[in-house]
Amino acid sequence: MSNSIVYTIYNSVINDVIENVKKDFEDSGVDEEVLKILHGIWKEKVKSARVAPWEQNEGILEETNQIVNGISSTSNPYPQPPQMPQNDSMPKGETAAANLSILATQTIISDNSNGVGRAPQPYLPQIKNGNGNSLSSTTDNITKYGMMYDNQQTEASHNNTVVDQNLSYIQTVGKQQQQQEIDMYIEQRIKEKERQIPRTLGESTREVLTQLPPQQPPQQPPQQPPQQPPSQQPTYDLASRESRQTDVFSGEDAINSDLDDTDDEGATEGEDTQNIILCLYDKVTRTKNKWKCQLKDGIMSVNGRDFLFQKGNGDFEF
Amino acid sequence: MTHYYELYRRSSIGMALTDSLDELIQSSHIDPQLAMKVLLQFDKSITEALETKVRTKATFKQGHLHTYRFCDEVWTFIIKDPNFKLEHEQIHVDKIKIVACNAKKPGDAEPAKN
Repeated sequence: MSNSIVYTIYNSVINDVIENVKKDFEDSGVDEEVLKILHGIWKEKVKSARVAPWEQNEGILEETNQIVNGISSTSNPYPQPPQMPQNDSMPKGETAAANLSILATQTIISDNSNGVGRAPQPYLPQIKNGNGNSLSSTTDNITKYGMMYDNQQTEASHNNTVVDQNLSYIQTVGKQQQQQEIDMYIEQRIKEKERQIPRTLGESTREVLTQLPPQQPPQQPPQQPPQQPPSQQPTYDLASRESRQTDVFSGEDAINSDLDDTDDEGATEGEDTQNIILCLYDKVTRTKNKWKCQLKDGIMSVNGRDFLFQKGNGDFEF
Repeated sequence: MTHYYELYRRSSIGMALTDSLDELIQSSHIDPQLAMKVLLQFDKSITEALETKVRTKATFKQGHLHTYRFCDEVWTFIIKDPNFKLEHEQIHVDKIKIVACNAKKPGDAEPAKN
């Protein structure tokens, strides 16, 4: 597969960045643990975007974790998913139930207000092993997940559904709540979660963050807006510039203005496509309606997959 | 210090980094200034990686150029029905947007003219 190099490049970029900002973290007095978390979250997010086939020996772990974490893979279907052996005891159809498992665990943790005696976690955020790439830790985790899941199954052998298993799991930990209350609470939590965290993966990462005490008192108010909204290109936002231009005409004859029509059309058509090439150009030439582009150093995102190219030539007709 | 384009922050790996940094800022683990430094380092690392480690060549043919723009040294193309050829793989998409910055570094890009 021609985008197999993408993993290697992305991985080396991640490692390079992490290595090179170590000093900045030190200078700012931020613990190295935070850098490790950043490394973990970042890698995890790139992995879960499924834009490129991830490393073979990590593939099994990835697959297992996705099932255990209840990350729905349907949100971003990979055209040709790698054929990995799957954990047969838990088919993908039950990912929603696995989500409940996450919520149930959270319930337990949040009920322990002082944080002492945390309940065992049926899923372990992958971040923890993001830095230790050794295969032994990988297999350890797989075994751990398997065992935990098996325990749950035996404890709740009288119930058939995973939801009930999780409820009985909560009960065995020592929470003697009424089943209805738990149901309602879990339902509430699901709704809250859906509102709070738009991305599926955020759940696991956010939980790690909440478990970790802040390394330093905040120097800035946390509400400070992110300096880089992901959907915008800060430097060259041509579309918004055009829409501002069209606003000038909106007070007059906005509907019948030709300028308005064409601009709007162009702006929306450009923004709503997921297929994008980010690259540099050496030369762009035009002869009548024939355009030739010499491009280089490009990242191409097409149909949910990423490709990289050193050189690219384009011939188009206008 | 050489300047690097922020262009690649829009890629999947760049967005993943931005999102991760956002989470760390919101949980007060890092401040925005530090996040900025990480992003600058990312600009450098990804540019160098693309320059030195990628050897793939791509060709785009037969597409209909729907829109072109050239503003602030940035070309933006929207192409309909192009055929991509990367190594031995042929890919067809109905629409793609190309955002291309000048291969000459920003420092050389004659800002005095503007």
